[in-house]
Amino acid sequence: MTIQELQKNIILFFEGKLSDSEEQTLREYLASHDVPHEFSNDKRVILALVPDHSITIPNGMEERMSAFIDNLPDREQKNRPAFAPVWRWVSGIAAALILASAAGLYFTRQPSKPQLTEQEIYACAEAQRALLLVSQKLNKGMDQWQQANYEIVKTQRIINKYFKYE
Amino acid sequence: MTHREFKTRFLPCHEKMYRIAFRYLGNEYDAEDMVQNAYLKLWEKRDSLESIENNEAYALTIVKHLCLDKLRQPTVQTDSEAALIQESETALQPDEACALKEEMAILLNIIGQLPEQQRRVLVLKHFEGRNTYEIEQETGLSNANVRVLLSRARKSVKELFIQRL
Repeated sequence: MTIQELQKNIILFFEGKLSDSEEQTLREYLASHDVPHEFSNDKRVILALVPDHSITIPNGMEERMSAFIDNLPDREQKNRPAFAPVWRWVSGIAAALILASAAGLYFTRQPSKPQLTEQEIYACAEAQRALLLVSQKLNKGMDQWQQANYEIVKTQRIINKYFKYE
Repeated sequence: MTHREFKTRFLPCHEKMYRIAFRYLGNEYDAEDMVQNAYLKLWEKRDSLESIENNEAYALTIVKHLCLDKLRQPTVQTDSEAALIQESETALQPDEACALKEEMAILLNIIGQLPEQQRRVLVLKHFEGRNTYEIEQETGLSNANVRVLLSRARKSVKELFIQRL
């Protein structure tokens, strides 16, 4: 490749106008030849960007990978501690005991009745009597009020009747 | 899933997985190591793989993510790693392999900053090995659009890549 061809191909590469095979040809040329200084940066970029399609697979790689896969463990080692199932039982039993105790306490405990003296009993009875008296008086008062209300209404009717005929 | 079923589904993908890993990591030793890691990861997920329709695409995605994770790690080379690289059939010296990894990390970082469509076309072209027709089919873009996006992406990458080197 002449310098002019090299320059032209580099320009075409950066304009995206080379075909895949032309890019590979350019890459192979740059990889195996020294170039003038003005193209050294282009060379580095092109060699970095364009992959080398001449990569060969190492001999025996498939066999090595196959052997590697065959030796992979079937089940992952679970790093559970050996005592974990025991602790599960312990915590379960403890929880059951706590629940049973709480239920027992709830159902067996009765609220204590207050113990009153004779004086307190007498005082309650007097208070009850007084409240009854007030209630009776109130009821009586209500009756009287209702009677008065009735008389007022009756008087009003008579007055209205009188003015109507006048 | 048994070992046999797993191999039937995923072992045939090893060549493409290797090529993708090599593309990202630049050397034979790391590429094969990454393929192995990918198989391990697939095996760990085997119980949830029944619903996967495209085994190859899934396996290649796993490899790609593992490679990107590796490239994000700082390149600290141990003596044993250097010795292994020297023993391998690769023509690269340890310092060359490191430089390649760093360059790839820079390149991927730059690509990640491109506008969405440019990035997508560039990745399909240069990292997933699709030709222009396949890119058109996958993106729904026209041939002219693909070329324009590729051109813009490449020019942006060139500008930023040179600044960062």
